[in-house]
Amino acid sequence: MELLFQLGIISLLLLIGWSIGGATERRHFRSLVKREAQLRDILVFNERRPPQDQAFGQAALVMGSVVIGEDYFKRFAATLRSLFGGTLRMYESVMDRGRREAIVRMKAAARRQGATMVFNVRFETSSLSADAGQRSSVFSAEFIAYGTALKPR
Amino acid sequence: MSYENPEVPHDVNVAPGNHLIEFLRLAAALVLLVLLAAAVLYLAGGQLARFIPFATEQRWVGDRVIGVKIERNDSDVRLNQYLQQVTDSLSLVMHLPDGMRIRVHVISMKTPNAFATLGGHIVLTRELFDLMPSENALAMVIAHEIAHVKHRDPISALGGTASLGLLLAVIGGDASSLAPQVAMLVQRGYTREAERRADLDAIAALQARYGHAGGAAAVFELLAATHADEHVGVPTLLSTHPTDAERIGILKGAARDWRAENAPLVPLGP
Repeated sequence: MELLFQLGIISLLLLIGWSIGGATERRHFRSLVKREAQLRDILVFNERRPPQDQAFGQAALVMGSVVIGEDYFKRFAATLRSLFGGTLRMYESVMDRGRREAIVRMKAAARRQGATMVFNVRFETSSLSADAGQRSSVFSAEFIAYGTALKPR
Repeated sequence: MSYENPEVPHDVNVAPGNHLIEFLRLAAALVLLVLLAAAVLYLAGGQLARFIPFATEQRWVGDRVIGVKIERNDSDVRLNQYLQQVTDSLSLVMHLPDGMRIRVHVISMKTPNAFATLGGHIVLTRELFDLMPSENALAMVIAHEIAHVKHRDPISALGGTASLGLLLAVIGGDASSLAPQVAMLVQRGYTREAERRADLDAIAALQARYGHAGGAAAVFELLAATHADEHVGVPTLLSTHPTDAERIGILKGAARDWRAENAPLVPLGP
């Protein structure tokens, strides 16, 4: 009886995580596609030197950062997956969302500066829970994208 | 030199596929593995426990009857003596190993039940005793439980459950609350064999003691009636014990040649 009760609670949490977490993720991806289209005229590269044949008047550091968390379903499924090994597909979408969101935010910062290009773009990812010393129950990762925004003369 | 950014591809960095289906497949695989490990451990632990000498088991348990509280009641002295006498006469014909002495106890409980527990103790409920129509029927019940002790089934169940507790502790489950439930699950199919064996031994004991196995089927006919009253239809596969109908069939078969005129049933009573 107690076992059934525990299983019921876990199933309920899984269902909530899967349905609401899944809906949140799909909405985020739709929003990303839309904002990426709006910011497509701002070009980003990881090339260290700006193009020599174009004239730029001003350079500034721009940065975009975001923290994305998992949902209960993803954590449970990833725990299961890590027993058997293989690609953690449930986290791939979280990581992809984080990177794309960071780029979009960096581009938005560049637009605010009036820049048209961002050069020497770098990525950094860190797990917030990894620093807690002990294994935290919440997985979340911070994504930072930064680069040199170039404003045309 | 011209610079451009292509549209961000969605399906490159995120592997396609349904997470839910993947989750269900993984969960099913895990459950299967755990059940398999549980079954192997239970059987292995159960078999190993049978190697514990009975003297050791008896030393551990002593006079305690594990699982029930025995209340000493003066009015039951004669009943206890009678039951012990039936038990001893059956033990004699069942060729128990040296040093294996069976002690029988009565408890007042509202359900007809009998079981064998660690250390060679057999427990009958008062309710079951009151249901018995003859000594032959009572002897069937007692011989069945003696057979369990003879085959070391109680300690085997303990060994199996203990191994399961170990498995659950290792995989991080709450062993104290989960082990008995998982044990129940694994135990079922396996125990049915032990029950069948105990039935056959009991029939042999009855034949040796009374010269026939008549009156034994009455036990299960009565129990079947109580089960029907309670409306508990346990499916054959899930039931610990062979179904009542199955057992009645076997017992009636064993008593085929018995005629009440030639060998009347022994009346019950201290």
